[in-house]
Amino acid sequence: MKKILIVEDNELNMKLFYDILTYQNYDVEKAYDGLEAYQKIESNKYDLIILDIQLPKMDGFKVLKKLKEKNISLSNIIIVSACAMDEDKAKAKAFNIETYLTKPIDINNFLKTVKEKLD
Amino acid sequence: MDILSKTLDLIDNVINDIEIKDINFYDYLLNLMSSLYKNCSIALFFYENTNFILKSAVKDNKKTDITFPLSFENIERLFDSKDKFIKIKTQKTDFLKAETIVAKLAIKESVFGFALLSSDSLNDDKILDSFIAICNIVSYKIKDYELNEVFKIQLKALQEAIIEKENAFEIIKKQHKKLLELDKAKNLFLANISHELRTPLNAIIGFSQALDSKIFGELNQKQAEYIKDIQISSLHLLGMINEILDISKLESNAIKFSPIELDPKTVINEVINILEPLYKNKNIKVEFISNFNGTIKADYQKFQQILYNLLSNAIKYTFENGKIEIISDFQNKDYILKIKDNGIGIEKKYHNKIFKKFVHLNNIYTKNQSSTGLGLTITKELVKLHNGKIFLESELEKGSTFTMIFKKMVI
Repeated sequence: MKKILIVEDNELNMKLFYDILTYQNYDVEKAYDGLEAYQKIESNKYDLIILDIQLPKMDGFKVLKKLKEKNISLSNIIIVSACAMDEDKAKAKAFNIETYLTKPIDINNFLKTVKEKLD
Repeated sequence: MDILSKTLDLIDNVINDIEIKDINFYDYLLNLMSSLYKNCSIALFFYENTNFILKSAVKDNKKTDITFPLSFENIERLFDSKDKFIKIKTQKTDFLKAETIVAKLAIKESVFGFALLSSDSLNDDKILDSFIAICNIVSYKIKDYELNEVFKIQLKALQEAIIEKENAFEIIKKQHKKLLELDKAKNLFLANISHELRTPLNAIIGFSQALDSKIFGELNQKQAEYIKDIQISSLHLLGMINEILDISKLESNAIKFSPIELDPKTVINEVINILEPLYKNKNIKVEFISNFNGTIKADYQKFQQILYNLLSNAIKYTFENGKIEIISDFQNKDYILKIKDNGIGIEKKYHNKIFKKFVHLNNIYTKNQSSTGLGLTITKELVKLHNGKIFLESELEKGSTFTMIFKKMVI
């Protein structure tokens, strides 16, 4: 079973992602803030990480920066964020993260992206 | 000349102490002239309000003041004379027992002058010449003083004006800075709003899509219908949020323009496909006339957005069973794109207005259409970003044609 970490601070959005991903038979874990996400990524192995940008304690970019400093690969990370500004997308690109989905997501498209990323 | 320099010194002293228009000053001048021309009768005349006043000193040092009103015309005639001397025939022939007065007008614009009254001295050229010389010098001296005073007043006014101007400039500079800050704050606010609205919208759209996909079970007919309604409304809301974000990006120059080589046919067909449910719903015929087979240099996403905005507008404002034409054309290196509909059209008086922000044309056809009023503003800006221009031809009830000419876009 593929293991996915969802990093999302909004309760309802977390529930949405969790429900549709568990329904697809993925093993899903939750992190509600940047610090929790960083600690989990550092000590566990995930096949895919769905990362939000605006997060409490530590924002998504800071998480990426800290992971990079620890030489932890970022290749299994996709960003799903409500930040729709071009500069945020450019920042993600600087971390070599190609998949940047803007909220609101189309769930069919989202599931397709997740599946492609895991294959 | 000793008398002259002494006189001038005295005048210098006196004009520093006494106001020029002060009555005492005229008395002083009169006494001065009398002491210089001991054997003559001297008069000094000046204006005070509307009155012409003659002050005179006669040989026996008896003083007389005569005040009589002068009409404006008389004053004009008196002072406009080109003669060195003006003969004033007074109505009162007994005035100082002299039949004529010879006056030297000090300065045309000045308020006073001297007169030599004695008829005996009028025959003495020497006295007359020196009298004229003294009068001239005295009057210029006073004129000089007056000019100085005027100059001082003007200088002061000028200095005040400069200070005021500097203050105004500072205020404008401050306000300009404040406006820039406010504008920046506004754009940041809009970006934040967009972010804040997207988060709950993600849940609304996501959960309704989850229900719609029936992964958690079947829905009855009404439930399925309502889920579709929620989705349509959510997408409409998302469209408006995107427009608000777009305008804030465009205004803060935060938009990124990344042109690539693309085939406009692909983009046009894509947009036609996306909007198919909308125009099929109104049974509108959309025709794509392609007279251009090459490629162009454009930003894919933004070029698509231009088309999307114009085509969805055309669908919105075209009657059921109407017709929309998309014409892709070129002229030399310029790429030309037209979106033509036979819908409700736009009155001529609104043609310039519709590209402005937050403009809604209120009429019976658009009453039920909610929008931000930003769509065409964004479209125009996106066309501009591509070095293009957008034009509107439209007639009420006949339809609208939006023509875009993109300079040197053809590869």
